[in-house]
Amino acid sequence: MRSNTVGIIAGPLAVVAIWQAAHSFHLLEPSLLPDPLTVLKALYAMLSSGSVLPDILSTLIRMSIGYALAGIVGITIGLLIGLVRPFYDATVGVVDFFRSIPVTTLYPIFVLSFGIGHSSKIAMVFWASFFVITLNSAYGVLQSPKLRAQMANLFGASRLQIFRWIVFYDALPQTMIGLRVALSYALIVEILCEMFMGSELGIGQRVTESWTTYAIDRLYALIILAGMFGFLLNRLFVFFERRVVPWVSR
Amino acid sequence: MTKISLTDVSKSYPSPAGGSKAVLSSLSLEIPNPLFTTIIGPNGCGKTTLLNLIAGIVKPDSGIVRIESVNGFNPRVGYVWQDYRASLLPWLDVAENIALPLRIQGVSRDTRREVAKQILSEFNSSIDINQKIYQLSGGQQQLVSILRSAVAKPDMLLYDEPLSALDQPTSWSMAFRIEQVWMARKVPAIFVSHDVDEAAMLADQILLMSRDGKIKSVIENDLPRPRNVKMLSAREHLSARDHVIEFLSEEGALRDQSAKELTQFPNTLK
Repeated sequence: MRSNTVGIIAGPLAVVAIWQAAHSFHLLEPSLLPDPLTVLKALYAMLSSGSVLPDILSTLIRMSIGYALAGIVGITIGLLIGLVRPFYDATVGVVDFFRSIPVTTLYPIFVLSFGIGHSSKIAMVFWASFFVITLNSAYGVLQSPKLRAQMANLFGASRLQIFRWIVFYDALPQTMIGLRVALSYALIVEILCEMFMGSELGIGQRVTESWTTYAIDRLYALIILAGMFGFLLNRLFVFFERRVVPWVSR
Repeated sequence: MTKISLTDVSKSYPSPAGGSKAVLSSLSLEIPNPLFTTIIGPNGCGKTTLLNLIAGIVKPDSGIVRIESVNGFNPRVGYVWQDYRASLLPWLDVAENIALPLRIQGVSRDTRREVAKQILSEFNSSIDINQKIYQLSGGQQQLVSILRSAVAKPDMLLYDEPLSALDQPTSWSMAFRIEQVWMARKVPAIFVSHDVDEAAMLADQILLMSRDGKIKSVIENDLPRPRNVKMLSAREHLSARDHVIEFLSEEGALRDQSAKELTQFPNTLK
């Protein structure tokens, strides 16, 4: 077995072992944190019955819509900001300011504007993702090596050719960083929205239900599920990123 | 035929201490077709600026840079940069990098790939056209860059210290590739270098640039072509390099140790 595979398995096993040991030595209050087996049983029950799948799907769909819209609009505006210096000067401070506002403080405004249905959750995911994608795309353009554009210009390329064939690709690695950070934000905000606003379906909604009904084993099972969901999304993104920008770190 | 002439050209850049620093002042120069010209001089004397003025990358503050070619006054430039990694496009394969100037001219993908294949075989390279740039060694990457400069039938070939980032054996191999490309294209080549042997070996004429941005003298090298490493001990080469070393010493561009090493037999042959 390769050493990194051993590491990947050993890490989580060690966490579970410490958790179990803490229980065996009565260091934890079972009503606050049940033992690992109880939580794993609850998780298995949720997954094997398929009862949680509509929730996962619902969270994924809303999150994906907000994230995808933020990606399309954010990359477009970010590239423009990076390309047009006066536009950069005029907008970068504003974008940075809005990015710095924790999106949760804007929750009342989103509820007032979009209600408590899907739209407000999608809008909040969009807001949380948009600014980080925009700024990273803009920085990608601004930090792209000038030599390549100079080279293409010398060979007679038009400004549009230089943008399409060079600057866009040079900006991609930084854009991907923005998209990756935004993916984590999107999941956090989507689950928070479900918890705060309520929703028929969604991982956040199930967390709130478990908490209010004191189903602590289900609560921890859902926390682990949300963690696994985020972990898998991140791994999927890394897989995708390596195919989009394979030249980075080579 | 391409004729390169500079008349009374001056160029200065903003100085970090404020004001401006003159890099070239009232420089006049003619480079006849199809000579191989190398430019050597102390750091900061304006070698790259001179090359970039000829390429049209920078504009002179005063004076005229005139390039007459078969394409009128809008010549096709083949340029090879020292930082080949930053000048190649890592998201494209070898064929698309070599043929980038053709893509810019609107040549179809199939033709571009065919031309890239041909030029690699013309210069006896076994690089696979489908490989990505980051899969190549440094020398292979610079070769791609050298072939890219020649692919679109340029009116002149310009080289800005293209070998300085390579190890010595690769550097000599690339130097003779450059000569091979230049001989095939029959256009003027201007090669900026800081390496005495490299500058002397490749050149028909060596321009010695002083710190004040002027051409102090021109040294001829009549060695037959194609040249090879064995010619490093030829009388013509040794005479040319002695002149260059003497000039660089006068300019204070050589540290004592470097001067001592250079006045001995060329390192490559030891």
